[in-house]
Amino acid sequence: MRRCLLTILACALCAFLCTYPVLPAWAGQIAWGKLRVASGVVIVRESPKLNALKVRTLKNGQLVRIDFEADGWAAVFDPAQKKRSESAAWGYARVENLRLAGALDLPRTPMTSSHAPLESIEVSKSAQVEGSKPKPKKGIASHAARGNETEPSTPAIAEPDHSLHTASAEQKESPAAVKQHEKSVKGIINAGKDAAKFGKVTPAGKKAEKMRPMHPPKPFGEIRVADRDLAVRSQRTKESDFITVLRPGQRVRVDFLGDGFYAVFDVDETVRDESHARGYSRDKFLLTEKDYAEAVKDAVPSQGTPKKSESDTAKSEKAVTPDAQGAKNSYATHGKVARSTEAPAAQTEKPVSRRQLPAANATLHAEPAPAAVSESVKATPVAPVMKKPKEHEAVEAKHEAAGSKKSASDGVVVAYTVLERRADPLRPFAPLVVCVRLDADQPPTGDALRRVVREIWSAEHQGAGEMQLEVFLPGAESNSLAYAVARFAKDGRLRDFLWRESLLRIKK
Amino acid sequence: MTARIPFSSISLVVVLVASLCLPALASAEQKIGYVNPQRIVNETRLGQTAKADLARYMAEKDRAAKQSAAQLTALRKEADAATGADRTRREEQLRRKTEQHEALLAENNRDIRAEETRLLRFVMRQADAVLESIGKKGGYSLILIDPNVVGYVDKASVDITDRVVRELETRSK
Repeated sequence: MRRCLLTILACALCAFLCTYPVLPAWAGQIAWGKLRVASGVVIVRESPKLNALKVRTLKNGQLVRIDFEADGWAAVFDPAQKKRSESAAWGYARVENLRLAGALDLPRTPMTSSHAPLESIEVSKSAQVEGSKPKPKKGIASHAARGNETEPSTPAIAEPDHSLHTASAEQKESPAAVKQHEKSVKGIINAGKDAAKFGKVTPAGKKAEKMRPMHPPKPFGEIRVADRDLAVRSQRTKESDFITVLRPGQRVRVDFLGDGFYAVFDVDETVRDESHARGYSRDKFLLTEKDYAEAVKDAVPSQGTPKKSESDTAKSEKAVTPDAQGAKNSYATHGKVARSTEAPAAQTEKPVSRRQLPAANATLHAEPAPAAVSESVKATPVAPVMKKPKEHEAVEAKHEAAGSKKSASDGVVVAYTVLERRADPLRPFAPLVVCVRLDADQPPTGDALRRVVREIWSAEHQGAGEMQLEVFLPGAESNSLAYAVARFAKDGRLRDFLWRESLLRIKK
Repeated sequence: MTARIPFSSISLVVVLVASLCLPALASAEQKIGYVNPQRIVNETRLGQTAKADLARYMAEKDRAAKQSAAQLTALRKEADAATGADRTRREEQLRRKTEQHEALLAENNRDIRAEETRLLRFVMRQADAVLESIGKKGGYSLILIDPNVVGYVDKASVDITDRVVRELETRSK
């Protein structure tokens, strides 16, 4: 009898142990959310935004629980998660990348031996942020659309509904497939960059996201060549923000002609969507490759270079204006505009404390004062005008000023960043103050600097009246001492110019 | 039989003595330094460069002032030579030009002073960093850079300008 009891107990124990893993689900069904399966490699982000931090990656076929759906995003949970709270979520993923768990199709290619859901890959927040480049993998044909939140997945994922992407093993190994994959990766990266750049998903971007092509993208528009230094602007107007400059002979893909402007894309761009364009440029300066070749051929015997002269209209288009000294020393500007909402605070000249200004006892006795200056010094000195904090437009832009100092081969590159633009609405005649920071290892001095400030003025004055340009050294902030200050009259005449070589004396 | 002194009284005496001695001890440890800002400007490369910057700026201003003065002289000659209604017109022009010229000179003066202040502030800000490190290393409680704030400073014994100049020289390019 006792033996029998022991046997029964042992059996009961075994049964309990065997059924233990099933018990929780059996006992307490989780009644919230929906079970979904990752369709491809799905990125889970910290917040429901395309530019949000990537916190996790779901593998193809991984089972997850989703809830709190909104705007095409859903909070992603561990399937065993009982607590229905967004704080318990892994993160957020696009809903369209998560298939119904019940509709789980058998993969076209065998999955891993284990049927258990593959564990997701947790990504270190600091290590992997938006825009980090995924390593291209061979033989992947998955979503190739921009803005898609699935990453190029493993060869095992050939989407059932994407018949065209169901590549055979041979196709997967082919260079074309690899190239296709690279394009898709680039698309994703660009989408991330775009999102990061603008800080939010634009309606056009959302639309594009919804309208992800199911087929391999076809080339669109046409390839054109800039016949001169040609500005790319943010809108179809000459007055809109300058984004970058196309160099003579630079090939771009163009489309969406309107108002005399083409939308300009990268040559490799595959998504025909204006939101993916780099900007807009005048159509008449974008020649077909054939026309451009002919233009070059015509120009070579006479000038040796493609034609570069511009009409008055084109002058405003041009980001590069060779200065009067000659093209040898001209500086060109090109680069990309990135608007920033984080405007640096308006600078107020702080009241000078004794500590900051011990100069009460010291003077900079500059070398022999010229007669006219000594005459001017006789006048009663007036305290520097205190600048009041004011609302200002803040534009953060990155331009590169490239040019040649003595020859084309002996090139000097001067890049600059616009830190701040200040216009005082209360003082309409006050000059527009533009603060830029040079990004050059060896900042120009003297006449070269004069030319640089002129070039910056031509790129930045944007029809403003008088302008004060403050040039800062690399690493400097707009509240520090400017390396150079130039005041321009409305007509571009340099009214006042100073530069402080003493700033170069400081070791970084 | 000796009378027993209460413990509380002893404690009181100790506290009093300590309170009298501590300030003296503290003041004995205090070190004061003095830096001559004018020497900082004159004897460092940074200061020299700042002076050169100012001189260049003054020359720039001078050029503009000379141009204006030349125009003024020419106008004055023309006004002297003119007669009748033309003379009145010329004199009016001369008056306006003179006002402009004076405004230009005043502006030049203001700009030069402001620039001088900025450059000096910049040089002294660099010196401040040096002063801080010297103060910490040398155990200075106070470093004066303006002798006018106190009645008397024995410059010979507390002047650390040379040290600051040396340090600034090593820190500048």
